[in-house]
Amino acid sequence: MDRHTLHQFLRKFFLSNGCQLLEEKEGLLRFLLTPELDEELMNRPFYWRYKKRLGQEGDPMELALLTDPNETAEKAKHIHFGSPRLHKIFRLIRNSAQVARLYEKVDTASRTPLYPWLIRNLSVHFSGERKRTETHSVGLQLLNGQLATDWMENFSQVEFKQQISDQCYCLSPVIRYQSGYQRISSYMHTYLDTIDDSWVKETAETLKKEEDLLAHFFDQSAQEELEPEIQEERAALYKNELDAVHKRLIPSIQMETINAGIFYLSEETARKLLHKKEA
Amino acid sequence: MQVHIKDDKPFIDMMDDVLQQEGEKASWEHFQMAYTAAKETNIDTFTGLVAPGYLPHMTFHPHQLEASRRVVEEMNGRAILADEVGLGKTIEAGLVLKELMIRGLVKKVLLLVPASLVNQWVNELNSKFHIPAASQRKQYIWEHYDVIVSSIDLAKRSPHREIILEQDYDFVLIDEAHKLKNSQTKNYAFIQSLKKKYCLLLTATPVQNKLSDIYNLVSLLKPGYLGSYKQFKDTYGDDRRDAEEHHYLKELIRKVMVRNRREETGLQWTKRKVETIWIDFTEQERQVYENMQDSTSAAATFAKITLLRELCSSREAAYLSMKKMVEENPETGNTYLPVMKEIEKLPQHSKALKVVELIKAAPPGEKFIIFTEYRATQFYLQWTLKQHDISSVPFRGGFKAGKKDWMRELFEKHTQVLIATEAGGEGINLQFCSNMINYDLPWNPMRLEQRIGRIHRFGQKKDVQIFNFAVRNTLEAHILELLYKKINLFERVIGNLDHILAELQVSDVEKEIKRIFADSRSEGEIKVKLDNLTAVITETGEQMERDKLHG
Repeated sequence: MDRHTLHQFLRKFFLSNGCQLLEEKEGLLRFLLTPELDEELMNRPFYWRYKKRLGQEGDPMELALLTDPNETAEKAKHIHFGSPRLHKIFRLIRNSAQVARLYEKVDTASRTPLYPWLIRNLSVHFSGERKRTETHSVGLQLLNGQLATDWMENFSQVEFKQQISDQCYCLSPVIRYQSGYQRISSYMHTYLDTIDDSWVKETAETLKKEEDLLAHFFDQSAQEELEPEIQEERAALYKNELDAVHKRLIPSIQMETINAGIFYLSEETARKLLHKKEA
Repeated sequence: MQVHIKDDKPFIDMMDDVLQQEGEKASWEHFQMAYTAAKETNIDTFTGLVAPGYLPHMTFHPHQLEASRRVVEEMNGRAILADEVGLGKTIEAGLVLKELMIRGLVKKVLLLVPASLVNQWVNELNSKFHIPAASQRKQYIWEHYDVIVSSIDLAKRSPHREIILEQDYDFVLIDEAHKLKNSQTKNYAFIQSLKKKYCLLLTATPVQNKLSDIYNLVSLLKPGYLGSYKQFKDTYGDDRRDAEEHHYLKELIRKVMVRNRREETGLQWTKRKVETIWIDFTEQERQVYENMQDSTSAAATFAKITLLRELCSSREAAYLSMKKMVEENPETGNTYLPVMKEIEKLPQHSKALKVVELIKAAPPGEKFIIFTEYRATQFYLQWTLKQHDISSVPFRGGFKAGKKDWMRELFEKHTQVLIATEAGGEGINLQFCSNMINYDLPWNPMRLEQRIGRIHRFGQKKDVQIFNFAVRNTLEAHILELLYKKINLFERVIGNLDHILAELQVSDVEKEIKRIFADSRSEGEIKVKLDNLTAVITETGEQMERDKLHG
């Protein structure tokens, strides 16, 4: 995320959460927070607790953020990728936007059907000797089972509303949400079977080596004539160490849903954007 | 090998609930932002570390990234960082800490570093890594700050000690950890009793020389792993060679220690240019030197050698030593008082004048570091430079941390010269200066390497110019010609010099050389003995290189 993207992201985040934009210039954003965001971001739990106890409304603070590392401004804090505050904001936004039901905004005079899509965004965590995480966005049309990848990227310019547009009506899904969700999982399994798995073999080799090493160090002493108490202690330690090695080095893949939703989409938009991608 | 794939099953149930209950659902804008937030934090390659992406203002070198990655991913955050001087151990440690913090694994942090480096650590963590570290000043700080830098001496004293031992630290770092090699010390016991999840030990000296060192440091990182020391010794023998040949022990050391060597980093280092500046004593100075050398008095030979060395440095250094000796032992006055009289008559010191000449000849503002062995010389040089309108600041090991920072800053921003005595060398980075004058040479090659390491390190953009000053036909000339030039120390970095000296069991090179001078009856004998010493140093180094290639 470069700093211009970050700037726009933060601007959108605070405005869409009802904060008032007090000042904006290149590399600087100054907001008056809402009480809710003040509580979440400003780290003054006692203030809010007392205010609530007194039955008073609190005065939310101003927050000035510098998105340009070279800028300075009064009472402003630098925010950058990796700063705890940005992570907090990321967490807030992720928690608040897990599920959606949205309708495409359509300007039309004639009756227009909207088709239901299940959109599932997911992180796939590969865990072995090294770790990485892929991001996927998969859409499934719930009438005919058509599947589309990179959905969020392809439909980012489409406007969706929480209310259905005039003259539009929704078609009922044929595929239930649960089985749709499951179909996307199956698709991911198929995809995962096709990708390079050399990391799995590498991890297995390292695992073997580390198990050997542990066995060596803990066997050595098992042969000694130790007091039972110490023997027990060492057995427990061995188990702990072994568990830690397994936890780290038994390869696994975990799918984590970032968020998901039912999106109602006109046939025209779907055709246009999915076709564009194929072309 | 089959990989277990875990699906996120609970999510669909939760989603179903939300959709049915007509509960709070996300807007398109928020839905997109949540996706962006996740995508931005997901790291899509097996590169390991996340932290560098969060620190765009920093340029990390490949060996630093790899070292930090190994510590985090392969060593579970418990490791000895033993890079050679100047390769950026602090950077690697900061990166490890940042990574663990970003991954949400570490919150409460204690860094124990030499008192003189506390501020430097605090500054670097804040400015380079955006880690809000605080230095320990007041008692209450322990409980109220998450990241604290302190000296070990302060931390282990009451009442700090008791407070610290009550804390559950996620991360503990010990800088200069080679001082912890002895398990019988209070420091060792203190570190051992700290509650710590992750632990980094930083040291520039390798630890695989002695079995007990390995045992003690590994035991800090992996308590109980090695059993009792007796068992350990019975299994692996007393000798380091046995230990090193032992496959499992070698493997274990590899599992807990990162050691980068300069030559392995594959980086282009700026060059070292070395120039010897020969000084001729004036007739008068020569006379004093020779009188002292020839004195067959009661003066102990060792003392005489010290005085001759001092006389090559400054009148003041030699004078003060003699004065002290006479005060302590009035009988020696017979020998020294006449010499002192002669010294008083010397108008200047030729070497100091040479320094002035050299600095005056350099482009205006060109910065110089002068290293001297003696405080008296330091004062004299400062005075002399001032007489010639050259600005300078002094630097000593004994300065408090704040004063050191201040002097360093003065030197960087305002003055042309920094005059340091030996202890000033440890840990301070002066890479903005590229000229070094070795006004007098230490008799221990390791110390010389450390001096040069102050400026010839990461961040140095220019070639480094080293001027070695030596007075012709003196002890100094021998040291330069017979010791340093032979082992070729100036031009190349002797990576495993520390290793070599340990191997030779020469714990005190300086004493060794003094003995050579004291016991030799002729110049020829001195030369032969020094030749032998340098030959052994060179050969051991080559032998170790070969071992490394084959082992």
